[in-house]
Amino acid sequence: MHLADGVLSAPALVASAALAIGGVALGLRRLHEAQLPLAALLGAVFFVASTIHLPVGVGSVHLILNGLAGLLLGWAVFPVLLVALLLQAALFSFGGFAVLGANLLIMAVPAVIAHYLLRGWVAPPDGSVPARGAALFAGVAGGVVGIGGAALLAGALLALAGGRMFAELIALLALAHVPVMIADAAIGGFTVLALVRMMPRALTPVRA
Amino acid sequence: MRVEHRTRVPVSRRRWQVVWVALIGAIVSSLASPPASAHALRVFAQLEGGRIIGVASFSDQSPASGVFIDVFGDASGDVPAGVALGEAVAGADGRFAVAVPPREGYRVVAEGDEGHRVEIVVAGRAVAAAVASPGMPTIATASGASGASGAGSTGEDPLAEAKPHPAAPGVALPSGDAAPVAGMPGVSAAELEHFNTALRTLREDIHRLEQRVRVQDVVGGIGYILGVFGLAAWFMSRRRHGSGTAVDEGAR
Repeated sequence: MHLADGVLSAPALVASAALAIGGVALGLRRLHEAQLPLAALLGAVFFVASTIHLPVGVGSVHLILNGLAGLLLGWAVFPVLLVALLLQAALFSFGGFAVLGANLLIMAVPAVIAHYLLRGWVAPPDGSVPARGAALFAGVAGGVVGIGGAALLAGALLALAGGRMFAELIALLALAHVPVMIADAAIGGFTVLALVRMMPRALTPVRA
Repeated sequence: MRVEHRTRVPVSRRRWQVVWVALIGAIVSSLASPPASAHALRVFAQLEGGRIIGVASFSDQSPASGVFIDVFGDASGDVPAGVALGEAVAGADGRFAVAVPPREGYRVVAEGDEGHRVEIVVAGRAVAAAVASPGMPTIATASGASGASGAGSTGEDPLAEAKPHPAAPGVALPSGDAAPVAGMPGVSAAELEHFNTALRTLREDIHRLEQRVRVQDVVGGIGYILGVFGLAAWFMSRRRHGSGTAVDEGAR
């Protein structure tokens, strides 16, 4: 899902970089001090998860976990994923530096959407501990929204680029990420469920 | 009867049954869908016998079959700069071969789905010929430019200009083709081919080792994240506690 350098056109690169900078600025403003350890933890998880490939069937499945990070962090997911993507590009040549903005948008925008769609399920407005079923649902849905949204965004950006054979493969892109989505949904669901059972206070939103 | 029995199953157990069913369904459906390719595309290629021969793979070391390969050269020939000299599609094992006219250097561009693209530079005849010392078979000699004759030679098939050499009979080869290569006394075409293949395998191995995701890189990345975390935490605590250095605070 990391787009490589040289795939997107210059206007798309500039536009996505500008949007990503806006997201990072907003995320840094929203990042509360009490959130910082969790942000670093989820950033490290995102960074490491993509290097682990589990063989499934003919191919291999890896985790991305952007939905989980977004669900728990909100807008702060932008600077967190920026750091992780930067390190992935520098150390593993995943993606590239010119497309960093586009890759950040692909990962972080669905994560923020997952946060606003699902935060009510993990942190009820009245401050009560969420039901286990609700927590499990939120974690699973976070994986689905995170990966599904990322696949759609990547497909849309590739469609804008309009290069050879991209058009017919956008649908395939989403289909190909079904295993990744399932892996993310499973891990996300069990993570949020475990948090509710063991440390429900971790899920209550931080207010400055 | 069965319905009554079902209602007696505790709610929490039923919920777990749902989870298990979902999990098994997920695994089954993931087996049925096409695999998502890994995060990065890697390509290795070299010039060999007038062809660019190489292999494309993904960062999890799986072969990148179906990837489009375009080979570009400098504008010095009859082909303008932006036009591909040749193209190919990587096979099921990720391998490809593109016949190319002789050039000083080549640009090999691999383009796959999901926004994968990688571009590498492959040395052409001039660079390779300079590397080749007399009597040392290298990738360059196969393109028709031997170390002795230099870059001025044409891109003709080396086998076509191969002449029998008096020094050759000492070399025994299993294959019938024992004709020596022009400019390389004592080396037959079959031997040269064998050397080239061995050399390519070795270079592919080196390339794969270089491109592998290493554990120390992962650990180093986590270290960077910890550093950024520490920096941010320090910055935020400074902002909250006002001015002064940490050393001052501790001394008080």
